[in-house]
Amino acid sequence: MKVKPYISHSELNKVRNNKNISISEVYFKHYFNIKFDRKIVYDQDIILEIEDIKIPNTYNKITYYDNDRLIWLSPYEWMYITNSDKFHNLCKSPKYEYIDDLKSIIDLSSAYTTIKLSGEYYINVLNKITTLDILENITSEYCAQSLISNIKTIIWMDNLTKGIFLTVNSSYSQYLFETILDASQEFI
Amino acid sequence: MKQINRINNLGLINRSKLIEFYFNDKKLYAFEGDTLASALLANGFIFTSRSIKYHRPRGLFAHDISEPNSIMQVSIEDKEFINVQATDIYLYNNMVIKSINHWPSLDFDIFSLKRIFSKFFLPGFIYKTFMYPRLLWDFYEKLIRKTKGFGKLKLEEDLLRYEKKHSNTDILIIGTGPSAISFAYSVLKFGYKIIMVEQDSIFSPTMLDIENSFTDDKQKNEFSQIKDYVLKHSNTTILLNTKLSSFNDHNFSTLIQNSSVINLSESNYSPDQILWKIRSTKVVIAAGAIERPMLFENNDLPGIMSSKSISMYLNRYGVIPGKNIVLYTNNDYSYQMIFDLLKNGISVSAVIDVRKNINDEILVKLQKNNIKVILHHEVIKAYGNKFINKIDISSIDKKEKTTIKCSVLAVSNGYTPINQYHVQSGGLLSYKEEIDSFVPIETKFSPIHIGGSAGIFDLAESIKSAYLKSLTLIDKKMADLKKTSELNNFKNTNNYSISKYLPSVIYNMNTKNIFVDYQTDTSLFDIKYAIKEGFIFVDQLRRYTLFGTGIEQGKHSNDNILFLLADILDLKPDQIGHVKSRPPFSSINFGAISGRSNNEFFDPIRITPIHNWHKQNNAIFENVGQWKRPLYYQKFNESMEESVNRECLAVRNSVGVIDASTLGKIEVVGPDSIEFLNMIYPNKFTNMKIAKCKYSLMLNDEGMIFDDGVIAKLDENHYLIHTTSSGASTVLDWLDQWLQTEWDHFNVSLRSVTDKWTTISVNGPKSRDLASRLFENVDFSNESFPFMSYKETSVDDIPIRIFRVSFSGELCFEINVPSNYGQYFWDKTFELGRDLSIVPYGTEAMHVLRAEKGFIIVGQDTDGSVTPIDIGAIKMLSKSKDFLGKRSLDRPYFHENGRKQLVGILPDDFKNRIYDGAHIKNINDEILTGDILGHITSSYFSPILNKSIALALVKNGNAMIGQKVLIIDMNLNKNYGTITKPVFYDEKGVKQQ
Repeated sequence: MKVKPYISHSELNKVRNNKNISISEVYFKHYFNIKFDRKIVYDQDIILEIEDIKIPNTYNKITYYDNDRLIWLSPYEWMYITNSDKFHNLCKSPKYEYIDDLKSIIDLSSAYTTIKLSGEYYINVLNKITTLDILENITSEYCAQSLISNIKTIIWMDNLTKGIFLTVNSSYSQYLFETILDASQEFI
Repeated sequence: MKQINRINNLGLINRSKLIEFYFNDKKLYAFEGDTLASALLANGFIFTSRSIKYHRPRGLFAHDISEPNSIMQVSIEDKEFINVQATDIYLYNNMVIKSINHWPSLDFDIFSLKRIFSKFFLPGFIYKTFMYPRLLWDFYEKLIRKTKGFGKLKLEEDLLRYEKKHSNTDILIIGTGPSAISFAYSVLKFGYKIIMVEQDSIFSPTMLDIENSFTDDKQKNEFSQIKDYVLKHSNTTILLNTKLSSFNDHNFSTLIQNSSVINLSESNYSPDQILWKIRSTKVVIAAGAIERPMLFENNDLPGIMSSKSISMYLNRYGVIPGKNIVLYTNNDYSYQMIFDLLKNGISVSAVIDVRKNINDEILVKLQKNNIKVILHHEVIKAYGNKFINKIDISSIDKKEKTTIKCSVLAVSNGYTPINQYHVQSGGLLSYKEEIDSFVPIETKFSPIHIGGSAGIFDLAESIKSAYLKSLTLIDKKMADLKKTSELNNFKNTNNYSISKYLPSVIYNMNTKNIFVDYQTDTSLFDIKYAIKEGFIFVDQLRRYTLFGTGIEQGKHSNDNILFLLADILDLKPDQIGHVKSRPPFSSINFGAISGRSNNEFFDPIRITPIHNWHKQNNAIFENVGQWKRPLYYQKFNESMEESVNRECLAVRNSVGVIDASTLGKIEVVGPDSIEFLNMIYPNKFTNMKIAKCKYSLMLNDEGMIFDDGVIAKLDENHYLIHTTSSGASTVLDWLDQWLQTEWDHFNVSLRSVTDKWTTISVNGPKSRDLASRLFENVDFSNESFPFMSYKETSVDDIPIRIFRVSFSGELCFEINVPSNYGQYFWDKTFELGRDLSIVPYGTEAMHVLRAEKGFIIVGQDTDGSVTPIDIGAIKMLSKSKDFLGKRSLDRPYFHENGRKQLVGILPDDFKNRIYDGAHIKNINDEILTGDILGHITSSYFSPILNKSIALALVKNGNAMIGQKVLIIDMNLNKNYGTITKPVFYDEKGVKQQ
C-alpha cells in the first residue's frame, strides 16, 4: 500500500530541485510525542533513556540518531521522528508505562508533514515568513517553534544538507507549501 | 529637450538615460534618478500645487519627506499612487502625474475664490456652522466630504505586490550621514552587526554637501576612508530607499522599503514595497534635522524654499530653483547653501539675517564674493501670485524699510531634530536654548540620537560625539582603550550659532496670510484665534486648528507653533510640552501593513487528505472553522437543493459516505483519565468498558453547552474524545487550562490527533455490507459490533479504528485510517460500494439528516445560553458525581418555567423552508405586537418526509407541543406552523441500532 503525499501542486516538480529555492515534502514514517511531568524541574543532563535513545535536558536542541531525530518542544515535551518501526514497538513495552515522570508517548504518525526548504535563497524566504533569527551560521543542532503564516510550525535544521525542515500538522501542509511557494516566487 | 534650471555635470543622476513623463498632461523630461520634485524644478515648475483649504498657489519647500506642499496623484501602467509627496517618488518613463486640489486646472482654479471668504473660515468653522438644523447634517456632510481630503482613492484592486520581511541585528542605524558613519565605524570595530537605513537611493547623500564643509583636507580624506570601511564591511547591511516607520518597545522597528521606487519588472513576483520588521539590540537615530520656515506675510508663495533643500537639489540632482536667490535666516549653518552655489558659479543676490552679528569667517567670505549682507532685518511681506517676485524687508526696530526683487527666497528658521521616533515610544524632550530646539531626553530604553537628531549641527562635532556615544554600548575598559580612535580627533572649529527668532507681528491680531503649517493651511491668525478661544494646550490646539495632521505630520511646522504658543502665553517652550508623534513617521500603504496576508493567504486553510478527490468530484466547499468541507457534490446541472435531496435519499435508502476527518480528536492518556473525564463531562465514565463509546455534551463552568462529541474508551487509561470540527482547538486549550490550573494533581496527558486520522463515515442501510467488504476480518454483525462500540483492526500493519456511532440516524460505521492512507481507503470504499449505489455526501445533507433526527449542532441550535435541560438532555447529568457546570445547573432559574426549550416545528406550508432565525410568536399576535417566544435554529426540507422541518428554541416549548404558532422571517413574511417534538424521523432510533 502506497503512502500518498499530502502536498500536491502543479509547480511541485519545478521547485523540488530548484537551485535557488528548493521546496519538497519529506516523508517520515513515525512521529512520536513524548511528554514528561510538567511539575518536575529536571537538573540531570539526560532525563531518560529509552533503549539507546537519550532524551537530553537542553533547550532548542535536536539530537540525531542515524536518520532519526529527537526534537525539543518544551521543557517537558519532545518529538521523535523516525522511519524505523523500532521505537514504535519499544514504546508499547510495559516497562515504559510505569515510569513516574513519563506521562505519555503518543504515536502521531501521519498527523504531521515535513517540508524541506533549501537552496541559495532559503534564508531570504525564511526572513519573509518567520520572525525567528535564522541565520546561515546556525548549527544543525537547532530547533524552534514559531508561527509561520499563522500556522504553528516546528522548525529544525538539517545535519546533512544546507536547509531547514518545517514540520506542521498535515492539514495545514498544503497551505504552508503554497505560502512558501508564493514567498519564493521572486527567487525561482 | 530643455531643462532650464539644470546645472551641467552636477548631481548623482544618470544623464545618459532620458525619461519622459507627464505633469498635468504636459510632456516633460528628466533623467534617471530624478525625483518628481527635482524634475519639476529642473523644468522650471516652481508653482506645483494648490493648498487644501484656500487653494493658494504653492511650490516645493523641501527636498525630502518633510515636503508639505507638493502632493501628487501618480500613475504608471496599471499602478496608481495617491498622496505622494513630489520629493518622495522617483520618475519613470511615461509616468503620469497630476497635481490635486484644483478645478479645472492648476493655473486656473475656481476654488481659489475661497480666499475671498477666508476671514469666515476660522478654526472650528465646520463644527460651529453646520450644527443646526441637525436634520440637515447628512446633506452637509456629503458637501463637506467632497471638499476635503487630498488624493482620489482608486476603488479597483490594488495591484502592487507587498511583502513583509523580518531581520535581526545588533544595531540598527537610521541614516547614513557623517554621524551615522562615525557610529557605525566604531561599533564595527568591536564586532557588532549593523543595518544602516537610507531613505535615498544612494548611500549617504548628505555627504555631497557635507564634504564641502571639511576645512581640513586631512580630515576629509580620513573620513572618506572611514566611509569606505563601513560600506565594505561584511557585518554591514545597507537598506536603501527605506524609511523607519515606527520605533517600538524592546527596539522593535518597522521600516518601509521602496515606497519611492516602482517595480516595473516583467516578473510579477518581485515585491513593490517591503515592510521590514527588525529586532535589534539598539536603535540609533541619525536622521538629521528638518529646517523650519520663516514667518512673514505670504510666506507660502512658490519660490520660498528651505535653504538646506536648495543645497540638496543642487548637489544631489544638479538643479537650482531659479537665478535670483536671496537668503533669509537666523543661523550660521544655512550659509552653507551660499557656498555650495558659489562653488558652482551661482551667486546670491542678498542675505537678510535677523541677527545683529554673524560668524566672522562667513562674513568675510560673503564680502569677498560681493554678496549684500543685511543684518538685523526681517522680511515682512512677500509679493507675487504664482511665484515670488519681491519682498519687503524692515529693520528689526522698524525704522528702515526697503524692497528687494528675487525669484527664490531661501529661508532658515533653525532646525528641528528628528525626535519623532523617540516621542512615539513615549520619550520626553527638553528645550535646548542654544539651538532653539527640542532634543530627546534619552533613557535606557529609548533610541540613541546622534548628529542633527541630537541637536548637533556642526560636522566635526557630530562625528566626534557620535563616536563617543557609540562607546556607551561597549564594555567600559574596551572603550577606554579605543579613545585613541581617529574619530576622537574631529573637533568643532566653526563656532556657529542660531538665534531664536519670532516676528514681532505675532502680537498683532490682524495679521493674515502668515502660514505656520502649509499642508493644513493653518495660519498664525488661526493659532492666535484658537488660543483666544482657550485652546492653550498643545494637543487641543492641534486638533482645533488641525496643524500637523496632514501627510507630513507637521514635520516643518510643529516647533514653530510651539514657540509661538509659548511666546503668546509668556511661557518657556519647556513649559508648553510637545506634540505627541504617532507612527507611522511617513505615509505608508495599507497594503504594506497587510503584506501578502490577503486573498488566499489571509487566513490558514486546512484540508483533509481527500480534498483533491472532492474537488475532482465537483464538490462545492464551505468553510468550517479553517477547514474546507464539501457542502454538496453537484451532478450535471443540479441545483443545490436537488443535490442535497439526492444525497439524503441515498443515505436513507442505500449507502452514503462523508469525509468526517475534520472532527476534532483528542487522546486522553494517564491513570487519572477517568477522573478527568468525569469532571469534564456531565455523564459518568467510571464504569465504562473498553471498546465502548458514549455521547456527551461538554459544559462550561456556567452550565451552558459548549461542545459535544463521542468519547471512546480505547484501552485502560486511554480515551479518545471527539469534538466539533471548528471547536477542536478551543476544547483542547480549555481542557489543558483546567489541567494546568485547577486539576494539576491529575496524571493525565492530552494530545490532539485530529490530523492523524482520516475519518470515512459510512452511513445507510447498506453500510454494514460495505464495511464488511472493506475489512473482511472484522465481524460487523449487530451482536459482535453493537451500536456505540468500537473495534480496532489492521491492514498490512496499518492500524484501523472503527466506531459504530451515528449522526445521520442510520446504521453507520466511522472508519478511521492513518491520514497518509486516507485517500487509498476512500478510493477503496467507493470501488467496493459501486454496486450498492454509493454516493458521497456533504455537510448540507449531513445537516438535513441530523435535523430529521433532532440531533443538535452546538453553536447553531445552541447559542451559549442553552443548558442540557433546555434541550431535553437532563438524563445526561449525573447526580452521583461532580462535573464542570454542575453547581451552576443547580440554580433554580434553570429549572423554572420560562426557559427556552428545543422543539420541532412543522410549517403549515410544508413545501417552503422557513428562514433560520425567524421569530416565533403566539398565533394571535401580529408582526409588531406580542412577545417573541423564540426563534428557528435549523430549518431544512426533508426529502424522506417530503416536507419542511425545523428545530427551534421556544419559551416553555415542551408545554406547547401541538400548538400552532406564528413565524415571522427576516423579510417580515408571516408563516404558520405547529410545535412538535424535535425528532421527525425514526423516533425510536431503530435504524441506527
